[in-house]
Formats: sequence, C-alpha cells, structure tokens
Amino acid sequence: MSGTRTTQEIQRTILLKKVFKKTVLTIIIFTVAIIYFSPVLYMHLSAFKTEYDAVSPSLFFSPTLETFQKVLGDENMYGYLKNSLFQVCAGTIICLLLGIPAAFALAFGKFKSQGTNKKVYLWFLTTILLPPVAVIIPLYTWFQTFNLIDKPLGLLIIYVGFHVPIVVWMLHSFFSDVPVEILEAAEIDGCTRFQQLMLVALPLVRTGIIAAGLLVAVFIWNEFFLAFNLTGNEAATLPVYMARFREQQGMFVAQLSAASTVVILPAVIFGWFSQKSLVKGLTAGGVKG
Amino acid sequence: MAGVKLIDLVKRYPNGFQAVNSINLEIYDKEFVVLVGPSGCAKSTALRMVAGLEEITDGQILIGDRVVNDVAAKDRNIAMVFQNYALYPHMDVYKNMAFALKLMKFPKEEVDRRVRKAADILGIEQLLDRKPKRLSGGQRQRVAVGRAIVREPEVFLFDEPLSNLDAKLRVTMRAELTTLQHQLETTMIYVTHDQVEAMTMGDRIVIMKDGHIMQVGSPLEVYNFPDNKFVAGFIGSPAMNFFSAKLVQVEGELAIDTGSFQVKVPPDYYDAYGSYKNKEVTFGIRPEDIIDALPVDSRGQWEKLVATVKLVEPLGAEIILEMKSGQQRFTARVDPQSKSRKNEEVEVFFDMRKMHLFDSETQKVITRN
Repeated sequence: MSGTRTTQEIQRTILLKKVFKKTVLTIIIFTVAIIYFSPVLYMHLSAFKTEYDAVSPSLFFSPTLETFQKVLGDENMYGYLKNSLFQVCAGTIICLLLGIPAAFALAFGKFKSQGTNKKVYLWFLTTILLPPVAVIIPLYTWFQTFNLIDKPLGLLIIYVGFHVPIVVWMLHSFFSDVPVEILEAAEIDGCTRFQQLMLVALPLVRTGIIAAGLLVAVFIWNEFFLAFNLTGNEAATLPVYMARFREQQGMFVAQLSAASTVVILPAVIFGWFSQKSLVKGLTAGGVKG
Repeated sequence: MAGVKLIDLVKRYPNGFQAVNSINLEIYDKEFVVLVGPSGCAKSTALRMVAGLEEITDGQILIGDRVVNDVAAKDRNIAMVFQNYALYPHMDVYKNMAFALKLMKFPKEEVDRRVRKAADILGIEQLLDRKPKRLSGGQRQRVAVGRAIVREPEVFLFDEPLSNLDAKLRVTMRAELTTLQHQLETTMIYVTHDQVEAMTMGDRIVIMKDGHIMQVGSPLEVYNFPDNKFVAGFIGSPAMNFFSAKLVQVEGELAIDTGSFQVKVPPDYYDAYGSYKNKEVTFGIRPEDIIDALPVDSRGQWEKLVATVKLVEPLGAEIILEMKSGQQRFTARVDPQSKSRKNEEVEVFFDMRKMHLFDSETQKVITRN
C-alpha cells in the first residue's frame, strides 16, 4: 500500500489537529480573559500596596494592609454602607412582593379584553429598556417637588419602579412553564386564586424567585447614576461614595483600590455563592418545555 | 349523590365562535355517561363548563337540584381527573391526595382515613411518599383518580384520562375505572375520543359533533340503531360502509342500486322505505355483516355479489378484507379461516336484515319500526 496512508496515520493526524485547535483556542481565551481582567487585577493588587508603590503598576511588591485599615477606618463610609444595605434589602423585598403577584396575574389572569395580558406585559418589558439618563431631568424635578431629594425613601421608590419589571420579566417566563391544568386542579380542589399562587405555583418557581431576587439585589447594590443624581449626604449609597472619594481625596490609587475592593466584595461573594442558582434561573426560564 | 342536567347550554367565545350549540342532556344519578366525538366537537368544553372551568355563555347547568352557573368550581362538589393527570409536582402522593381535604380543614384523622382508603382501592399504598416524577404513567393516573375519590364528590368528571397511556395499560385501566364506578356508585361523566372506550365503559353514550349532540343512547342502541350517518360511521370499528345509491323498484321488488351492484331490500322493510322509491339514499352496512362464506345456519337475508379483494388484513381473530366491486369500495370482516386472497375475485354476501338507509340530504336514518 504505497502512496496511500494507513488508517492509523489518518487517525493520528486527526488527533493532532484536534489537540492543536484546542491549544490555540485555550491560549486565545486566556489572553482575552487576562486582558479583560487586568484592570480589576491591577485594582486588587493596588489595594494591598502603599500609595508609593501603587504609582507603578508592578506585579512585585511587598503587600501591606495599611491601606485597607485607612479605608475601613473612614467613618464616613459606614453611612453610605448603611444606605446601600437599606436600599438592597428593602428594594429586593418590595420588588419581589410586587413582582411575583404581577407576573402570576399576567401569566394566568383572565381579563375582560383578550389581549390585556400581553399588552401589560410588554409595558413592563419596555420599562426595563428605559435608560435612566433619558428621564433624569423630569425625575429630578419630580423629586424636588415632592421633597424626595436625598431621602432614602425617594431613592427606594425609584429603585422599585425600575426593578420590578425585571422580576416580572423573569417570573413571567417561569410561571408560563407551570401547566395551567395544575392550577385548574387546585381550583377544583378548593383553592382561591391567592392560594393557587402561594400553595401551588410559588413552590414550582422557587428557582426563578431566587434568581430574580439575586439579580435585583446586585443591580441595586451597583446602581450609580440615579443614586448619584438624586442623593446628597443623607441617602447616598456606596457607589456614590466611590465617586466622591475620588473627587474629594484625589487620585490616591491605593486607597481608591482598597475602597473599590471593599465595595464590590459583597456583590462578588454573593454572586460566587449564588452563581449556580443565577444561571439555572436565567436559563431554565428561557426553555419552554 | 346527584344527577347533572344541561339545559340549552351554549358556549360562545369572544371572537364569535360558538363551540357548544345549545345542547340538552340529562344525566341520572349514579350513571356512567360518556361524551364521545372527534376532536373539536366540544365534549371537553362541555365537561369543563360542568366543572366550572369555563364560563357559561347561555343556558343552565344543574348539579342535583342546584343551578350552578354562578357557583365557583370549588363549591360545586365535583372532582375532575385530567388528561395529563395534573398532579402537584412538589408534593408527594399522600399530600397530593390530601390537598383538597386539608384546604377544607378536615381533621387529620379523617384526612388520613380517606387517603389510605382511596390508596387501598387503587392499589397505591406503597407509593404514598413518592413524588409524581418518580411514578409511571399508570401510577400517576391512579393518583389522579385517588385525588378525586377522597373528596367523595357528587359527580366525577374525567377528561380523556387514558389518552396518554399505552394501549395495553389503557385496556386494564378501562376495566378498573368501570369497576370503580360501580363500587363508588357515583355519577360519572367521561370524555373520550375513543369509541371503544365509550362502548365498553358507558351506561349511555353521548355522541357529539361540532358542538351538537348527535345521539344519546346505550352502547348497543347507538350501535344497532344509529340516528344518523355520522353516528353510524363513528361508532364501530372498522367503520360502517356507506354507498351513495338509489332506491329502485325491480320487478315489483325494492332494491338498492349503487351503480356498481344491486342488492334487494328485505320485504319486511318495504313499508318503511317505500316513500323513498326512486330517490337518492345512502346505504350503510357494517363490515361484520358482509361475509365471504355463508354460515351453516344462514338466518340472514343474504344478497350475493362478486367483488375483488384489494387488501387482506389478518388480525388473528378475524380478517379484514378491503374489497372493490365496480366503482364501489367496501370493507368486510370475515372468519379467520377465510381463503380469500389479494386480487382474487370472490363472492360476498350482504346481510340485508342489518342494512341501514339514510336520507341523502338530512343524513338522518330512515327509521323502520
């Protein structure tokens, strides 16, 4: 058999090609990942440096905790932290309390005119697409009129308004996956509409509720634009603290980095422990059985 | 215990489509009534209106003596078994069955007693702590039935409960459900598209088409004395053969002329059919009344004709022959010992005592009493 390759040789070539492809792909992926992550890496590293070391972005230095001590010792920050916690906790709970029944009603409610379910659902969806920047001026005026500037309650109202649609959007998908016959069986068994939601539908969309809650919590924790424009000293949240830190204290890179690390830490820890739930929630609802 | 009455019942959808067209039906207490018909005949819609899951556009529904039009589903004292079981996935079998009773605030002992009794009747005691996803189709169906039994309702409603089961399981469950009904002595309304289920299970069958009731009667009644062409063709498998024909007079005798062959009408029927002389009619005869070998004690009134065998379908206990005579095609159900082969020309015999004649325009049967 001269001239033609044996089966063994062909198989080996195919294997080599596969390995080569995989290696190249891995190198590319890691390179892109490192490029994307490098600013964050720089920031985290700088957090452990002194101001002097932090000026140069070198990877080799003697780590110190004094910057962290300085940042955590800033009593100012704790006010902002309290506000952030308040917004996240109250905001998430209220969004869920309002969004779950809304999604349920939109998924299963019987309205007088046929298309109401879809119409109202689309209204919620379009709210998600609304950029806060587009409405900040009327919002600010409105807040001034009602004396809500720099009030935690004011910010809370806006956060609820912007984030309930996210809950509705996610849970609508999950509720739609619940077969309507199960609710009809519950109805015949003696459930009121409310009991159908609480006793039958809710347990079945638990993953979705957790995912929606996590998503809303992270969004509120990270929200900057509205907080920055609608709060002063009393109601400002941590992202605003970060912006003011830079303004007031200047480009103290190490301190900035330490402060940033502290601020994003809860969200990262949160996200790390809930990533499975989040992914499950975000993807499961999207596949209609 | 209660009967169910449907009076001038209408269901019209917002887009104008009238699904249920003013039907009237009386179901007696403890009766097993089957609503049967092709897809889209509104049998499920009618059932759901009795259950309270569909709004009633017009007419009345009575359960017992109560008009239940405005009564909520949960207050109608009915229980329903759905086609895809509709079990609560997050509860185990015990909780599924106990759910309704707990909602009604029954004492724990009573709940336990009823659940275990139902589980015993259905043979599912060993499944009580399992969740639905760990059950087979048949087991899920039993749990669904159990969930209905524990409520001790006045009426049981079944919406094609066996459709999702495999053929063999369906046969077993059919018998079980019929036995159950006799045991429980409760009114049952059962919806199916399977005429075999209807025939074997019902005390009476209600055949529906396009939102109308075509006939109501016992299985044998609708089989032997169909009111109209639709019922005649729907009940019985293989379906009745229909021929467009003319009723003619030949040498003083009445005969059916199908264009391809002629068969004589039994003299006893002249009175009934006489008024249709020379008119277009539809002649119907069931496959089992067409044979290829006369029985020893031929008590029928047999008309002979020659036809070609187009297809032979051996079923073991019988053979189905697809035949053609001239332009007419028909099905015959013959003895398993039959020697007829494909493409053979054979003699077949129509038992004319069993003939049916339908008015070509109204599709109604031309009665002979």
